[in-house]
Amino acid sequence: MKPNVWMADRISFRVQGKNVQRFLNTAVEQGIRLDHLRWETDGFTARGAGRDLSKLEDLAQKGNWTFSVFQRKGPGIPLERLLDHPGILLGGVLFFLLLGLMSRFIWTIDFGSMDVETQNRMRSLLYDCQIYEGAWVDDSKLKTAQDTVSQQSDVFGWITLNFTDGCLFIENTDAEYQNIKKEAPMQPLYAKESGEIVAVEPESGFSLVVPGQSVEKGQLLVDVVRLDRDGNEIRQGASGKIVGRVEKSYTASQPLRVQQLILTGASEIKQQLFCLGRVWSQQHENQGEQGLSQVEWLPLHLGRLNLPAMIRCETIWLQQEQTIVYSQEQAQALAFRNCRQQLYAEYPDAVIESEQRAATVEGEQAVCTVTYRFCSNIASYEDWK
Amino acid sequence: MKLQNRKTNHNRTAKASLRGMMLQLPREFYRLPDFELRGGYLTTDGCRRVLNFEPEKVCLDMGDFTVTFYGAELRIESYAGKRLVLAGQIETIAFQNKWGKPKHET
Repeated sequence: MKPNVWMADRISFRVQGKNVQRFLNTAVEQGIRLDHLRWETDGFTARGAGRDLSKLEDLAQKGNWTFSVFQRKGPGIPLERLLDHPGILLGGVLFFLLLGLMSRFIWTIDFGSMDVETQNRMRSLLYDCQIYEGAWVDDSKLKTAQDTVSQQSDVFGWITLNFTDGCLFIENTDAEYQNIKKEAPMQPLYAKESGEIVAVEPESGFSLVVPGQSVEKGQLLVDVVRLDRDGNEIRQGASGKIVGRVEKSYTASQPLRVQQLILTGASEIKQQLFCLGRVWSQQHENQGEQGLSQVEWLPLHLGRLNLPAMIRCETIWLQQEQTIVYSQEQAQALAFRNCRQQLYAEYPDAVIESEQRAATVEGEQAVCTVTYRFCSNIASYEDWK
Repeated sequence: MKLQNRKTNHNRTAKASLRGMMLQLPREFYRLPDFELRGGYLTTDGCRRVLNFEPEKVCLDMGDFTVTFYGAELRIESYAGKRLVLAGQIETIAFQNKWGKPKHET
């Protein structure tokens, strides 16, 4: 091994003996280049290439000259040291080999400027596509994940996944909403409920009511046709709001005893270690219990070096079915709330002016009726007659 | 008369120098080794052997003749093939043919 290493060096040597000029001439005749020749008592010193060392040694041996190398310069010495410790060399080779092999594993996920909540949502989506730190990634997986995340149009306007050398870069833009006004349909607007007209705010069409006017359920409020002076029909789609004051009652009941899932306060933690495409799960005793799940993702890293591994920590807050006994007041309050929910479900823009409540307890349940007096848009395309 | 003679001599000298410039050197001239001296370095492309190598005296075999350099701190900077670079304080250069008769000394 050593002669090969010598080849890269420059050597300084000393030749001693009788008639050393002959050594010099013979060496040069053999095509050896010598530099820095210095005369010494009974010999000379010179510099030459390491590759000519064997020739020079042979020559000196044949002519009975004393030949000795006293200096070496070049990469040979550190190379020899490296060869004396093959573990270092092997370790380096192994390192680059593993680096090349493991470049298809995800070492880190760069979420860019995403906030924590969106990051967690994105992690869940990617986890469903089997993409996380420590997972093996191929093009099909990436494509599937790309398609899945692209469907989240409520969060991302545009999103792309780029996987390069172990790092998954997620680039995205936030979704922007734009209200596009639809063309008014060629349908008249009718009163959804009987009441008194408070405001007329038609955007299109021909209004047939005025504020202060009382209307009946199903009455035509905004028409799409009008006749001009000559009796010709003028058509225009109907849209807009007709605000009316309405009185309406809602009834709801609330049982005094309810079977419901209640958080017990106990929790269970499931941990899974994902590393180099493999999964190690922690064993659990209480498996299959119901509960609210909360997932935390913990990528592993050594100092500032990310590792192709991740711990998925799932905390399950256990729930148990229990009978809840409400008092009459509690049950009535819940029933009242239910009535209001019904009102807002039907009239989301309702402004309540007054309400009259009536509550009774019938058997094991509280029944409440609330009569609301409210203002809301009562125009509807449905004919309520 | 004197002016006429002087003019004639001048013409003869000019013609001779012109002839000398046009004259081709002997063929052997181009086969002879040459020396190039620059500063404290002397370079030659015709060194066949080093006959003597000491700080005060370096003798080189140039084929048909030998050349000896006398001086101080003489050393060979590079020697490969027939190209040799000599360095040091060269004081005297002596040429001698192979038969021992000195050619001339500089």
